[in-house]
Amino acid sequence: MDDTPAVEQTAQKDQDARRPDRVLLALVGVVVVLVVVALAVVFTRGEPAALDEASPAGVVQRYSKALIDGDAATAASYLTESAKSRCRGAYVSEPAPARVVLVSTTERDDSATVRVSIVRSSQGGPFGPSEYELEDAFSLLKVNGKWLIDQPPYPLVDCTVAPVKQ
Amino acid sequence: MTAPAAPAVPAPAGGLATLRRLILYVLLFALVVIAASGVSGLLERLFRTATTLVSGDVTGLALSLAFTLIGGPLALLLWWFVWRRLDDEAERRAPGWGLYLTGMYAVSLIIASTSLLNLATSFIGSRESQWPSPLANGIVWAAIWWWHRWMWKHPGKASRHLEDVRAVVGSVFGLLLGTGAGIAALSALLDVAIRGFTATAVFEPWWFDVLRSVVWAAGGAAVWWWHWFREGGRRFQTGLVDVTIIGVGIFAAGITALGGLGVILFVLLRLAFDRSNPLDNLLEPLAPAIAAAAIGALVWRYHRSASVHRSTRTRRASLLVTSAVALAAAASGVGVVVNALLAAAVSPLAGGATRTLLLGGISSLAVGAPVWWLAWKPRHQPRSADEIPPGRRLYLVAFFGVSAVVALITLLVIGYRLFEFLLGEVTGGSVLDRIRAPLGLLVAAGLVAGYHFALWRQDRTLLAAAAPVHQRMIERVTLVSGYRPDAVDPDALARGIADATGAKVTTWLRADDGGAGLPPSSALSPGAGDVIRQVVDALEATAGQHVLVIAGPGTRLEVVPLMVPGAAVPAGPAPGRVLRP
Repeated sequence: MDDTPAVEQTAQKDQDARRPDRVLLALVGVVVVLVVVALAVVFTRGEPAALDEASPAGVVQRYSKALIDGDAATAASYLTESAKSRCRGAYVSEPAPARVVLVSTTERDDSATVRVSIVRSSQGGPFGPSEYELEDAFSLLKVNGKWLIDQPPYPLVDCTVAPVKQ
Repeated sequence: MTAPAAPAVPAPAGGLATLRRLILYVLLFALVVIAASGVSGLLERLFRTATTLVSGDVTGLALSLAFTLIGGPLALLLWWFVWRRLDDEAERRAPGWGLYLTGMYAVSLIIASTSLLNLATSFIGSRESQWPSPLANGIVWAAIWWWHRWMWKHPGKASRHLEDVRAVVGSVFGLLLGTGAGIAALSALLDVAIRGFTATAVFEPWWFDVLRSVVWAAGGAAVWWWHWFREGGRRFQTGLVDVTIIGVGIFAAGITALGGLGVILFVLLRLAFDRSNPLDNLLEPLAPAIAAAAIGALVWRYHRSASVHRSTRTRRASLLVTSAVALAAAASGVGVVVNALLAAAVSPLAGGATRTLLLGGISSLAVGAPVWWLAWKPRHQPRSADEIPPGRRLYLVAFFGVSAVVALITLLVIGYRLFEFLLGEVTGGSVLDRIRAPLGLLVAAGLVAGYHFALWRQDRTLLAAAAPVHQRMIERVTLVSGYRPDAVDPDALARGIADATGAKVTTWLRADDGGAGLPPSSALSPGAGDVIRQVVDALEATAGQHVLVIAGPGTRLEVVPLMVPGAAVPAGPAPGRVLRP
């Protein structure tokens, strides 16, 4: 007589004990799915979509890309003369930003402001790589019908090829 | 007991004595430091005389002389005064003396050993003229260290209950110094092996740096060995030593080793899948990472095996700490993976670095998850209330709480960014880009919180299933005895109830006319043994944490469960009852 409840209790205990296993399996499954999807998405992703070169954002995009790739000469071709002359000596902002994302564009007749979020990253420790983000703005001017950058934000400045002011 | 015939001389009040000791020991500490600085300044000057051609630094000499000639005698005087007072047991037991000894021992040990090691490394390379200062400092502070060690070990005046502090202070300092310098030495050596000679201009051979670090590491190891083995640090079975083993040997070393392993895996993955940077840049963190992983693992392993031979509590705590560090690494790895996934969904203006981010997340996850699996053993969780170890529920609640706080903060950040998007001119892509990091952390915190909450609930179910025995336990009994003390001894009655129920018994005697004041003939009193048996029988049928028992006079026995006003009425089968009015 007394055995039946005891057996039932043991069965109940076993069932209870199996429950977190199910939770654990579900969580492990979520993590595995996340990793696989992330791998698939990240590795199939191509270059950032190119914007129209005639728009302020397009100019900022080409300038930033050239700067991140270390092509200072191409980057300088998107600067106004006064921006180039403002460079004194060889100044390179360190470390180079890892990523530039468009926040907003304000376009007026002869000038424009492009706000961007600039992400820099540093090597990881036990808790993975860390990133820090800051928001800043490009000031652009229309020179001869073409948008040129008059004032780039300081993390995106490279003065290595600009001539030192006389 | 007799009253004292004459009033004793009043001892100084506790607060006053503590204040006196505080001022005394702070003053002594300051004077010893001042005198040491003066003497070492003078010694340094003495060592330099051979090499100095022209000496014009009058202010420095004047300062050293003032420190030595004023600070030195005053320090000795004060020390003599303190030392004489230490014949008194109360002075020896005072925390001030122990704190002074610990503080001065630690300071002198650190300054002496770093100065002597500085002296040793100053001979490596072309820095011959730099030896006088470390030599002078080393001699003076080594003497102070020896002096305080002698006081600490003095048979009559030592502060006995702080014996383990000395060993712990020395071994922690030695361990940190030795480990740090060991990692630096190995890392410099490996860097040359992996990347070759990267410096464009060479001032000295590459192995000078390695040799200097090796000297520092050897010094740190020696300090550690002396305190851990010679001074017997590892033999003390005290809480402080346990905390040291867990805090430094398991926690700090575990983070170092896991961090190193994570970076090694990260660099290897980048070499295979993400060559966006020059090879030299990619390989730069590899050497320090290998060094940190190797030496961190060595230190961790040593303390892990040391904790196995200690108490069960220490062993369990070391496992929990290992599991916590590994889980934190794995969870933040998951967060970074989610972060990278969202980053790939946004088209940036320029750059990308999503691949680097993803590989970083995967390496943290790949290093943290297996270690967590081994330390936590998720497939062998307790299946009954008896198997639940004491620290486990604290660990579960702590992880649940920490992940809840992380989730709250990330939610606030996400909310702020979303409202910013809704209220201003911001592109949708930039919103996603700016919330991806907090969103990743939120997902990781959610997973951690979910798992620990499920375990916590399961533990609660197990404990509740085993609880009836505990719930029926009566914690407090208030006994009102109506028997005459010479008929039934109330103390014996209380003791009997306490022995039988395990409850804490408070005894009251009745002062009204129904109690002790009655003549013994008014009612036939039963024996104490009978009364105890009856009360225990009645209590067994009663539920409640606090029970009032009114026993006597005569055969009267009343048992009333009590509760705090406003508390829930216990669902017990046994209400209070008058057994024999």
